[in-house]
Amino acid sequence: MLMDNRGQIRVLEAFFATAVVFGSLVLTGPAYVSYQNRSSNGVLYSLGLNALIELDRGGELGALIAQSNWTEISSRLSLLLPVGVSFNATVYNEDHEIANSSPMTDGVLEGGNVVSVRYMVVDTATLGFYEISLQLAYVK
Amino acid sequence: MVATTIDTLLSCFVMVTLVLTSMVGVYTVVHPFLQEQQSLYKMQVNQKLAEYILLGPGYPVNWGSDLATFLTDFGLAEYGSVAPYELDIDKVTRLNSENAYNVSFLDVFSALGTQDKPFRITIKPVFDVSVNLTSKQEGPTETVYHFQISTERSSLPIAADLCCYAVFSDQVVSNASSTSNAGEGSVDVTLQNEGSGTALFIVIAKADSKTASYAVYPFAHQSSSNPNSQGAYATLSPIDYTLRIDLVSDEDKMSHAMIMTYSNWFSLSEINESQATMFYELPRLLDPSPMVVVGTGLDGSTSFAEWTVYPQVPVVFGSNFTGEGDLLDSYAFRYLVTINSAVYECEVVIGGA
Repeated sequence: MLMDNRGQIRVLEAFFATAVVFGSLVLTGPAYVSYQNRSSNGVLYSLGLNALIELDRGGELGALIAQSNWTEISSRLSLLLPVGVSFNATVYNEDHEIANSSPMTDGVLEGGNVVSVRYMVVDTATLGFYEISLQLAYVK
Repeated sequence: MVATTIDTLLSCFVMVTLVLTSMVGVYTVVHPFLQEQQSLYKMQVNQKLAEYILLGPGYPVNWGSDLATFLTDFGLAEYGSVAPYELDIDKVTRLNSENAYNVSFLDVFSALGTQDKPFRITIKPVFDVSVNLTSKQEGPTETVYHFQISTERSSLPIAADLCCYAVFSDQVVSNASSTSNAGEGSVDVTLQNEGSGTALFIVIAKADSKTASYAVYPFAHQSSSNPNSQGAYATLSPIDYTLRIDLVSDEDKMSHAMIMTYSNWFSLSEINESQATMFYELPRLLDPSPMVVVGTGLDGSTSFAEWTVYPQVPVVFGSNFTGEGDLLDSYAFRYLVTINSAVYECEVVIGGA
């Protein structure tokens, strides 16, 4: 009777071990998904940084921020970023307070993989420093 | 005893099955990780190569305007520029096969020194302009042409300000307009009824202060025949702020040359005349706009008009990737670049080994 029980315990152990192994495989799934997003994150970051560099050429971005011309910044970002990429930009002043009084966005960043680009801007006329945080995501 | 043996056999079977399925499971999970890592590495290497092309000036550093030297390192950036992604107007222009001073893909491929990586560079305006002649009203002394203009980006309409020119022989008429948020606009231009032949309607559009595009629409003025096709009478090659005009036939004569930007237009002065090739000096304009260069002349009694743009974009340079599977292992990178203060879109496609 004791020998019979010992065999059953081995079978139970084997099933237990199977559950542990498959459980660990299931748990690694999210890690793979986050790993897979690294390449698209890099592309989005590059697109965002490139758009901000072009927008800032000649100090125009700093001047637009100093003028609080949020509509123009939003419209230019919309033109410079590829169709299919939505964005949300926030401008912070030197005290790290939000400077833009109206939202600068062309869509809703939800459900997708959001990449954030931070860019330092100077208004050459007033020597005011600003930080612009540009969040990007592919439109789902 | 028999029951114990059966139990042991069953547990051994389960253990072996467990080991095998675990191996398959681990392989299934780890294999994409390894593939992804390899793919990420390839993407990063190709992205660095694309950035090298756009951020480096190449060698000689002024190979765009220095026509006597041999290209030993390929890069499109303007030498001495402090800002990134600022491309040299002449280096970009020499990528266009229609330019008399164009560089061959073989020379560029050798200069880049990456024998296992075919590539293609596409530079074009950020948005497109299209023109249609919708109607005309002929009077005794002048003709009024009505043009419909649309501006769009990736098939989505955008609003833009327009500066339009109509050129016929030595006549230049300009008019300003704009397109609505639906990307539609219209312009009327009036030409005097003097002579007959090909006229050009030129639109230079600006979506913002630095983002510009253009369109050129040839049409027949006082003539029932079709307008001449581009290159039928002469080829125009701008380089180093000098325009070279090569006439196709010695019997034709180029009488006027002019340059148009969004804000201004100027007549060009000839700096060297020969029978078949003429040279004109181009002004160094600060206007962030494509510069449309026009040459008009006479073929007998019929006027012809030829044109080009400086920088000569849109341009597609490099491998065409038309082979089966060529694009399977290739990577495309999109950048915004500045040429002569105007913003353009650049796509660099780099193929695998």
